[in-house]
Amino acid sequence: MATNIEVEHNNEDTLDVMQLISDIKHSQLINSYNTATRTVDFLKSLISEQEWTTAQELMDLVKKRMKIISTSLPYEVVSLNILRHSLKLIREEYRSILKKKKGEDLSPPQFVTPDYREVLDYSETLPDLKARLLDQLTEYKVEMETSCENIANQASEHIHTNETVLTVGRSHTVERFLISAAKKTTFEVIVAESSNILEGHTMANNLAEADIGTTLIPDTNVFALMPRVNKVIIGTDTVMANGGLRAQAGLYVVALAAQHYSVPFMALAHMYKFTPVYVGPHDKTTFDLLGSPADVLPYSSGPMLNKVKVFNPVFDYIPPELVTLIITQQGGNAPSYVYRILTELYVQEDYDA
Amino acid sequence: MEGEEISKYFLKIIEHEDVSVGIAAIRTLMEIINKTASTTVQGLDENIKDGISIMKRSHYPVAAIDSGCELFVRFITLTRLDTHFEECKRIMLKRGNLYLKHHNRSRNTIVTSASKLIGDGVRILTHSRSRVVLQTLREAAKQKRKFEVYVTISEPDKSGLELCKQLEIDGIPHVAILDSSVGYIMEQIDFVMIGAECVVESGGVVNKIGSYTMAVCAREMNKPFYVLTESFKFSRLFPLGQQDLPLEYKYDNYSNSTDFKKVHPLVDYTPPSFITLLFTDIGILTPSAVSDELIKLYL
Amino acid sequence: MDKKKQSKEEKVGADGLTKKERRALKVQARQTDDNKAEQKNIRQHSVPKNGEKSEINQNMAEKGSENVTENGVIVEEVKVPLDKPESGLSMKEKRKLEWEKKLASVKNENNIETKCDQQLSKSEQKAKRREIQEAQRLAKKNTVTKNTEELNSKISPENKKIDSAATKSFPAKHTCSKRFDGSILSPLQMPFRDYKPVELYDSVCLPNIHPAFIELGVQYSSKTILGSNARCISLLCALSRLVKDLRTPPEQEFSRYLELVLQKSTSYLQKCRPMSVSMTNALKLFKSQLTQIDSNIPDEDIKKKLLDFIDTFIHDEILTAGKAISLKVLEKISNGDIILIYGCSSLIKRILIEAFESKKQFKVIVVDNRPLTEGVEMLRRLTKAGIDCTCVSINGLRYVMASVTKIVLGAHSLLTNGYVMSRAGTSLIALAAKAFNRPVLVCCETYKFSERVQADSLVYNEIGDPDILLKDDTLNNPSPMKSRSKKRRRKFLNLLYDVTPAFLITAVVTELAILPCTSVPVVLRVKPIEI
Repeated sequence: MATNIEVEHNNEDTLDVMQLISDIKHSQLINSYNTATRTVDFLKSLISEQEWTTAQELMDLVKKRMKIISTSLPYEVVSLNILRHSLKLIREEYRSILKKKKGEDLSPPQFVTPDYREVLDYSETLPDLKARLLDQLTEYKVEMETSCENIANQASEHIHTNETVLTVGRSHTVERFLISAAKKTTFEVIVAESSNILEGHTMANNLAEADIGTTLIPDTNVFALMPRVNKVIIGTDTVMANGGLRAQAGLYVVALAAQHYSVPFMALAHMYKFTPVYVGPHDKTTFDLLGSPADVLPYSSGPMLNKVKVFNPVFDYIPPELVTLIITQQGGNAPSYVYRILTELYVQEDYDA
Repeated sequence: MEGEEISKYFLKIIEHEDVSVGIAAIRTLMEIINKTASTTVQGLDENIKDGISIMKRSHYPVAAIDSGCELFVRFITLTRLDTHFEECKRIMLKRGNLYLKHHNRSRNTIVTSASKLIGDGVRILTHSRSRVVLQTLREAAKQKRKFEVYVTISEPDKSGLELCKQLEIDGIPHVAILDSSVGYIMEQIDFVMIGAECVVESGGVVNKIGSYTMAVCAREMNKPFYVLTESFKFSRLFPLGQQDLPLEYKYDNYSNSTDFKKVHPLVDYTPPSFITLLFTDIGILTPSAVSDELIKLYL
Repeated sequence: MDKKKQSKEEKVGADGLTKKERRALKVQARQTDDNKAEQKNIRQHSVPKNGEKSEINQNMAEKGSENVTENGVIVEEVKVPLDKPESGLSMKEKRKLEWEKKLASVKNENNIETKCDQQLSKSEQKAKRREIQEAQRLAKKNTVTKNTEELNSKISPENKKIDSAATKSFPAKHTCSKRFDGSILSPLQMPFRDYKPVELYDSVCLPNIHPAFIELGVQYSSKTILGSNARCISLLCALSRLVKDLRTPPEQEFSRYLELVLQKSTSYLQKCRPMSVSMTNALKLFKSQLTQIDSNIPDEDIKKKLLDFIDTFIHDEILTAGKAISLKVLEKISNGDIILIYGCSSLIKRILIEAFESKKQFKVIVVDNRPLTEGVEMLRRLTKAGIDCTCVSINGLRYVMASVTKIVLGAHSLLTNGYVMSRAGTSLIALAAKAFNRPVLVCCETYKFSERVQADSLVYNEIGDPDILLKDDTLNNPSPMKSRSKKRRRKFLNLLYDVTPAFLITAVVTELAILPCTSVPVVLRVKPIEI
């Protein structure tokens, strides 16, 4: 199906987005941060190189690309979120330029006012817009570059001396977070190896190299060790609109175990991981990404391979009630406050885009 | 407009049109403003207040009337204008119409977002009769989804049976269950979807008696509990518990009764911790977002 | 051959410990609190060790020589008594001892770490491999003849495995006591005993231990026999062989002597792998039987009685109980069920296959667990029987849980407070099941009920071989954790069991009835033979 879409859109003007998609798809961009910076670069070139005259036209260009991305990569969130955020930036810039020009307050009216959807048509040609948007994006990128550091800097607020922290698998953000905390205090880290991909080994290794006492355990031991754990700190793939997380498979049971022992469960997430998508109980499409079955049942297992169905889900959904804190570069928040962060990041109309 | 006239107008809308109580109340208020005999803003205020209390005396849910009117009044008087009364009245009516227009659309917004919840093979439990729930179910059926609805009969007025009748017409598979079998059925269903009479500041909802029971059961079995509601049902109330609900919400014609212990309450309060999400016209909200919206509105 | 090469590398590369050190550490583990302190207190250590050694190996003809390596680790050598049954080994042992002595002296003189390490490990490996082969030959020679069907199914597919398991995992195991030093994990304050690697060396030269037990010890420690039922049955089989073969020395009572021998044998087994509750319970019963027997009757009669008892126990408490449980679970399986199981359990396998044979229509989801990957074995057996199976790892639990209708789990033991002790990860399954409101049935014969109470998985547990986490055949890429730098900071932990709280379990299926977890003490009370 994806190839059809590619063919369909494979004309001159969307070539840029195809390149982005292929980079994401073929894992040129190894982590979310790379995807994010790549997307911002893509946006910049879109703004500076494509032909557009009004804000509306630009927004249409962006929306069109979002559509292509979301159909080709149904599980990609980061680049979509950044594009979605850019729509808000465009609107804001447009309004502020217009405001200066006309001296009117055009801030969007509040919700219950019936005319809250009264829309500016964004059709005026504003010559300043391009330059200001590019400025904004540069700023945004700088913020993004420092975000990992900002998150890591909060580490000492969350980790106390002699605590034991449990983490699962590998996350660059968590790694930096723990290493930053280790500069000020001493603590122990337990790393669950995260079956199948076993990225926990790399994580544990890196932490040990940073001189943090690290214990590697198989995933099955999580429940047994949970009473000795003071905090669970994990990275996440996405923060959903209800405060739930879409994270690496296996974290759901870890979250349940943490809840069972009332251990705080903290997720580290960059702002671009906040996604305005609500999930229902049967929302298979959001979570149905399956990895290679060979990671669960090796090909060497013999003739029974023909008879056995193997599932290797990539993501788990962690409902908000199991999450204690979501820590972003702007500080920690309860999952119940995610809706608010979303309204700061995006315009509601773009939620579905 | 006199008392008789007001209640007649109000009842006429409710009985002859398929609108929620809140909308009917708002339209009645519009009519009052339109036909008011007073010539001062203060007088108009009095008229509106009288109108509201007359409507509350009808046997329709007071909670819905209250929350609907409160927001409406707040909205049309958002900026009290120091102009001529007629001018003022004109602006109020204009705003009122805008408000109504917006809220007439609101149900569609909810239906669109909530119908996405209903996938194939889903079993839904609902309580009493809520228009917006019904429309959501219809919408999902229109999209050829195969699902099943369990409806509580919902004593004392058996409003659940009315919903069943409607579902029968639309050909949506449904089962009417006893109010007391909520716990029994909970194991089999996928989620609960109910409407609300009003949404309170805490993010909880006031709804037909039995909703709370359902929410407690759903929590115990870890089933999602969804509330579908229009934003005009948001109210500034903050009940601390069932006892703290205003008497007029709980009892029909409460002024007539003296011993409330022996009267069946009509509504109960479901605290926010039991609610998974609220589907409203201003978006899908977590219970915590309700207070945010109310603060934005009133402060 | 490739594999052997690999294991060779592993031996050196995994942790850089020489075998000498490993062995010494094993003995020393109890006294060793701090690695650093070791170096200073070399002399002090050697004193209590002497005492301990003689305690442990009372009957061993021993000629110990203690060498101090540059690490401050003491190496102990025990001269092999010539009168032991496996005389073929003694020559080799001797040769090995000489090697070790020589090397140790070289070490002392040169104090060059790395060179010695390599040299030593190579020679050690050779000696080691020889040893292992010996043990295997021994094991094969003494193949259990009288075995129950259950046991056979457990062991037979893995007979070949002994080879690889012994050569591969054994050397690695020796490292653990160092890795998992109590002092390193002090912030966690885990009161674990160290993981104790089995010394084949010790095992083959232990006198007065019946070969059946020696074999059993090897099989336990190499995890060739897994699962508490299989372990118990194999123990009982070994026991019956012991009873048959035992000759009472003059001037001694048969039952007294048997008790003595049993004591030694079990303490050996305990060293190989801590005993399961099933084994302890069976032994407890056997011993009480032994004391009840009138010592005035002839030895042959006592033997017969004891053998009868063992047979009855296997038959009634394990096999018939399994049958009864299977029937009870069968009642609870309805057509169209999707049953989730975890790991490999002989009882669960039996239940499912019997249910399948009685024409119930159901599907099975097998949850596999790293690092033991028992689930694969379970899948193999179930698919062989023709059952429709799905496999997920424990990480994919949420993905399948929504479709599951029942969870059927095996148990290591049921504790008096109603908690279920079972293979690590069981509690995670139960937690997820609770979150999805799915009924969890734990199948457990009443002979596995334990008098112990425990509310925490840590206070009593068994530490498995942590190096299994690094085994290459389960990893796609070699683990970076093998790196030698900052070794002090790298620890591994592999608990074998966990304790599932009673409220996560819907019911326990026993041969008596389907019961709530909380009825364990009641069962223990009404079942007097358990006392």
